Amino acid sequence: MFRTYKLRQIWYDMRHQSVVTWVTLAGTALSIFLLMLTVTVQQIGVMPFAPESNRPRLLYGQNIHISSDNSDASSQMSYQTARTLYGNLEGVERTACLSFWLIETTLQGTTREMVIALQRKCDADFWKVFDHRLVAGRYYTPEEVDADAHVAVITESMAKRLFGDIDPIGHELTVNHIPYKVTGIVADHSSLAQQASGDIFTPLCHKVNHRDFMGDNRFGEVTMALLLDEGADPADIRRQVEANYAVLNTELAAENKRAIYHGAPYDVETVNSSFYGSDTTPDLSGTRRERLITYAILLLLPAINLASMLHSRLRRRVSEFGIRRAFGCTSGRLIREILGENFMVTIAGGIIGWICSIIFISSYAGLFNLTYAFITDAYTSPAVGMLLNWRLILSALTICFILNIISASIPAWQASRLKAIDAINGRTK
Amino acid sequence: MRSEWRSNVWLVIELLLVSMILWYVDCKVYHTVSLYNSEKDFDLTDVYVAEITYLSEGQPGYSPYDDGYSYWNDISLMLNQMRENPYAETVGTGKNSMPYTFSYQGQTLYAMEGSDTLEYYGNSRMMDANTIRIIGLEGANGETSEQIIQELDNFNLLLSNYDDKWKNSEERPDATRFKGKILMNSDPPLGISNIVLNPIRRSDFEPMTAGMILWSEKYFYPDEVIFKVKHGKDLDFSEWVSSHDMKFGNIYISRLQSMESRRESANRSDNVFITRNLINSAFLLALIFLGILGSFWFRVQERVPEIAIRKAMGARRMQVLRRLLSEAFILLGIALVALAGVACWLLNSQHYETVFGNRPEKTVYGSLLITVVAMALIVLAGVCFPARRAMKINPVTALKEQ
Repeated sequence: MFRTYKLRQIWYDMRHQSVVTWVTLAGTALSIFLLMLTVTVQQIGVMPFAPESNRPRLLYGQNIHISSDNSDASSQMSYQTARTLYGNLEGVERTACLSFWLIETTLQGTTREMVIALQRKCDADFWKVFDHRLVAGRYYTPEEVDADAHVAVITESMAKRLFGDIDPIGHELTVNHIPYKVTGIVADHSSLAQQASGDIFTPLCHKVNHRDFMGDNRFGEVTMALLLDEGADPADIRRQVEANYAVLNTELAAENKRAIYHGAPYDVETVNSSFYGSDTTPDLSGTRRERLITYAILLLLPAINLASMLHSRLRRRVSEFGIRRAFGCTSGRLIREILGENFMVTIAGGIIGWICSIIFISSYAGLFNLTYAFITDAYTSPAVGMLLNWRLILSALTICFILNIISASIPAWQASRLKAIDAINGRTK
Repeated sequence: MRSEWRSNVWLVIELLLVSMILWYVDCKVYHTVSLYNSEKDFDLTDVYVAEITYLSEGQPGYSPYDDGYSYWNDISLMLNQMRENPYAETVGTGKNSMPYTFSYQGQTLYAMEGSDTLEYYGNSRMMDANTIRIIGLEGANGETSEQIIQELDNFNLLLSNYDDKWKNSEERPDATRFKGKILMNSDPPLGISNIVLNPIRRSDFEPMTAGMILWSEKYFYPDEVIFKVKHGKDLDFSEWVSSHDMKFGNIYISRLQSMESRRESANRSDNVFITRNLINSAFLLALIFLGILGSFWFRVQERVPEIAIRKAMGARRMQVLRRLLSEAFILLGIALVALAGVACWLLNSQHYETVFGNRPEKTVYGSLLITVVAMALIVLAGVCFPARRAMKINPVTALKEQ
């Protein structure tokens, strides 16, 4: 009966103060829309989804920075360097080598169409660290990786473009004019999985360093992905890696060089922020501070607006509050009821805003800035399924709650402080 | 207004906060858009570019050269074949020659001016004569592509100017001061041309904080082949390329791309930045609109008797409208005066660079003006609906209800 009374109260307000109530709803919906937009864009970079379902347990060892009195160079690591720094760490379930950057490459299959695609080089353990869905064939084996075999795994859409209706397994395609054999097909996936995505995957050979930088074979094209054990502490992993840097430096000392430690391995949030170079230590504190300020502004400004409109709506009900106070209603109860009513309106506006944000984010791809975006032709947006997860729903509810508290507490408190006699007479002071 | 002072105070605070945030956001967007709209001194219509990759010893597909042969032979072979494409008007080569890649091959050059050492800091680009013709590279004083080609034959390199921000600064001396000079420590001596170039930026949104150094093609192996395609023949051109073998000895061509699509890719992150900030601005303005609408709607409701009496005493509809508008603009005016105070302090304080970075002052003032105009328009829009309601009040009906 009490809940029915509240709903009738809200419905009465909507009918008799329609403009102010609808403006309140619209303001709330708009605020939730923009807040969820901001939260979702940030969360897409860190929340787990296939093929990066292990994001909470993933760290990346990415670059090596070697300095001496006469030179200073930094780039991705060779396999040997990666093994020295990130091999045999306690608390790590599995490691995988991959090329961090996608390489734009030209493919050609039996359809003869020249297709520009994104190539990811990786070893056999890549498929165990990331959860791609194998649709046909098989992944390449560690032996094929060691032999630098010309085998490839492609996505379903690439298979369609390169081979048409022919089953690609066992067939050849050219990758930059070099023939490769297709061993497997994986399901299409979101390119928002920036470390696991690709159109074609080829072996990253351990034994041949195809790329060395500055004539130093400590540099190469390898990034190490570390899948931690459940409950492992990333700080402990970093301590072990720092100790490995000390071991590497004893070897480099003979050449008057030293490797500078920059806090690796990095978590997904750091890696996807791209706010660091190969010779700098990432520092996300500025970004986080800016994000908190953004959230605070996006909460406070609408709250001021909504508080003002709630204050206007409550002035109409001053007599009602007076009568209720005269009959023994406490201030606390009055505050709770006003907050409760306002929370229902906030939730209603929040649901509208949240749905609008999902539709907008999933249909408009111009919100995401992928780290390799400057070489690819495709915009991208997350699938609706990615947006309907408990983290984002919980975020939306929390935002509604906080917005309600900030916007309604002062007007509710002011309404509860009115003396019964003044309230009955319609005096608000 | 005095009876609603609490509500007015909150409105003014909200207007001030939104103005400040809007100004900051507008400044970023204004600066980015003005960079985009600054003149581009080259024409990339119907231009395609492909990458040249060199196979080295040990890589699959590499064949050792006989005596007297080298990559230059493969490059000649490749160019001869590409020029047989009936849909390509011109074919040229270059190294880091095209805009819209974020490749930066920085060099610092030194030259003497009297007893002073001049330092020039720039992005090195190499082009052959055909590439210069394809993109229509011109000099800062209107020198033509043919003149530039001639200069590259006579001299070794040409320099461009920096952006206006660095004009005549001691840190970045103008390229004009390097005209005709010899590079320090160069053996054989490398001469700098008397022509100053218009620069090629890396994207439409990036300022020229470093200059451009243009080298002749004889100094480097090219890594790009550039095509000027006959107008309307893009598809034919691409099909011709797809149907021919793109491997020539130890080099191969890949990643054929139109400059238009490369431009789109290069500008994408800035487009995303502008989109996000425009969404933020639209949100802030919508918030103000709703706040003004709600607040004034309620005030009109409360003041129905007052407005009815005034109309009964002879007030016209326009007078009622003017009263409401003036209330709204007084509140906005107070907020903007406070904003002006904040702006004066910020523009003259040490925090200018923290907030605005290296944006020029005209950008800051321009965005302030845009903010003021946007706020005024949105307040006007917000008051319109309540004002219309107030103007429609029938004094007889309203007073009878009282």
